Amino acid sequence: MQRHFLLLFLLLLAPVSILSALLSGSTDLSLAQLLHGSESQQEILWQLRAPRAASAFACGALLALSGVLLQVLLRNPLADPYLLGISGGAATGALGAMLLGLAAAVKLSALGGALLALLLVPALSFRRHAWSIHHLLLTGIALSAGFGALISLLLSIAPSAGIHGMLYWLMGDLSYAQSPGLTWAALLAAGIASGLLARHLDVLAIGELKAKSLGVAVLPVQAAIYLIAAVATTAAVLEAGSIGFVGLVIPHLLRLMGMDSHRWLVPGAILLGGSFLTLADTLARTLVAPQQLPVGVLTALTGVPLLLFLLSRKR
Amino acid sequence: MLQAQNLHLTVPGKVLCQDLTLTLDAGQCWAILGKNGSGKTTLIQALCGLAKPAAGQILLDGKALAGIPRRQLAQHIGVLLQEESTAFSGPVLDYVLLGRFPHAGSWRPDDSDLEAALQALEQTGMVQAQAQSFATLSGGERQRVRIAQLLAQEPGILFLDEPLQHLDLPHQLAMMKLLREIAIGQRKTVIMVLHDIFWASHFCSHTLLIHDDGKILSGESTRMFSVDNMETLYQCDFQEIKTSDGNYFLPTLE
Repeated sequence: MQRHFLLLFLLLLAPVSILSALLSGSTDLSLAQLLHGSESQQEILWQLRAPRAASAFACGALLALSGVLLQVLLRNPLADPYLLGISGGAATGALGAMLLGLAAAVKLSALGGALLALLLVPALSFRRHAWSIHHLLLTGIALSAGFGALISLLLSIAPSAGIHGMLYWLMGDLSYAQSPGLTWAALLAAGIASGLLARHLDVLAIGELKAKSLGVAVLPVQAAIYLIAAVATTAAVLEAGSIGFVGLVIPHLLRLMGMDSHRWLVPGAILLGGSFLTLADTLARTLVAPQQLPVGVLTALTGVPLLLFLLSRKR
Repeated sequence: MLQAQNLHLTVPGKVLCQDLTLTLDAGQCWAILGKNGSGKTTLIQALCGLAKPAAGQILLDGKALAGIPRRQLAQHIGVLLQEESTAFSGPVLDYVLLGRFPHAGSWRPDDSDLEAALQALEQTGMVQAQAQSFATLSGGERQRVRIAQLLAQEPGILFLDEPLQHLDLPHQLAMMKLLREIAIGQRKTVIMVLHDIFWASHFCSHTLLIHDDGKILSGESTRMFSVDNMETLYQCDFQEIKTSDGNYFLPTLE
């Protein structure tokens, strides 16, 4: 019963978070102005705030969903979307393009880096016709460390004028997120695919061998989970950089509140992840306006105390 | 009916069994006995299709196990593993419902799933804990919930790798009675790895002895239990104690 109320609450939270993102900012708008505002107000609303809010929601949802999937795949509660090197690859690509002054190619280059990691990690961990999850995890961590070194290298040789943009990209930032269409398409696909796999995820979570004995085709399901998580992470990172903590904290928050089975956890993560990042981004825009904070800093600053509070309450 | 034909099982550096031919029929309750590392678990995992044998084949009602899709196989064969995950944070009932996966028609469990899960919990005496968190249970209670999950799966052939671990004596007795009733009374096939000769000799209709050198002796329990057989199997001295409840085989204290 508690789960029904929680899902209902999350269903209400989502439109509230988007509404608050639309209304607040450098010029606060009222509900009436949302519908019948002046031309300039309408422009602010539909050209600036709406796409950004839409992007924020989709990115948060994708990251939380990816976290849910990877925590099952890697059978590790600490798994998050960035563990498998995708964000590292994307960041290396993006920073490389920035360093070369190819502003127009930043996204394309980031996509290239993400795809490289996405393909390299499973290829390197596949041995003798068997896919070892343990190897996958270690390969991802090793590759992430490699990308981390490359990122440091790029930062150290970058001219100081370019450092600011690079750091914002690394911390996660939605100010350049103006094309929510693709991100939403990725969310729709990943959300539906994960929903269809919900029962498989439940069974796989209690162990590979047990899942096999219960009739799960383990290897194809694991490959599907990896692919969905990789697409979700790539889509989010391309739109908003490496926003940390959403993918780790949101699944745990939901589990701590009693949403254990994946037919609750998947929709719950999409709704809460989306709302959480939308609210965090609204704060990032308004807290020290007209200055903007990188939203990745805020997700951590608000998510950490929330998670710690819930952990301390659990028996 | 499950048949093993000319089964060879090996682990790196050791042959566990050679040329094993065996028929497991409905209405039989099997015990598998052997020393640590003799290959009991490997044998079970091969028979239920979780591990590939080095040679030979296994037939389920005449069809090769390797050719049956996983999900279909899981409707016929279920297994309690020796070590199962403790990482499950939800309630007991949800854990048992996972056993319904092979029969799942929709994206959520339906009434027939719920009924099977509750009945299974009833059988293992855990129904009152259905809403409790699985993680808060004791070791023995968890084992009974795991067995309930296997029962909810409703397979015709049940493999159990050390089903009695963590159970106290009264619960061991109740579990042996339940498993025997499922085999003999409900005409299913139960195969379990046991370490207790007394339970095996009193509740199992058939027994399979795996020796360290790969030799396997199998047949009706009445023919399997003797001081000689136990001494060869466990490689230590045994004594037989006769009581009105039947005979006990115990190692001789030196």
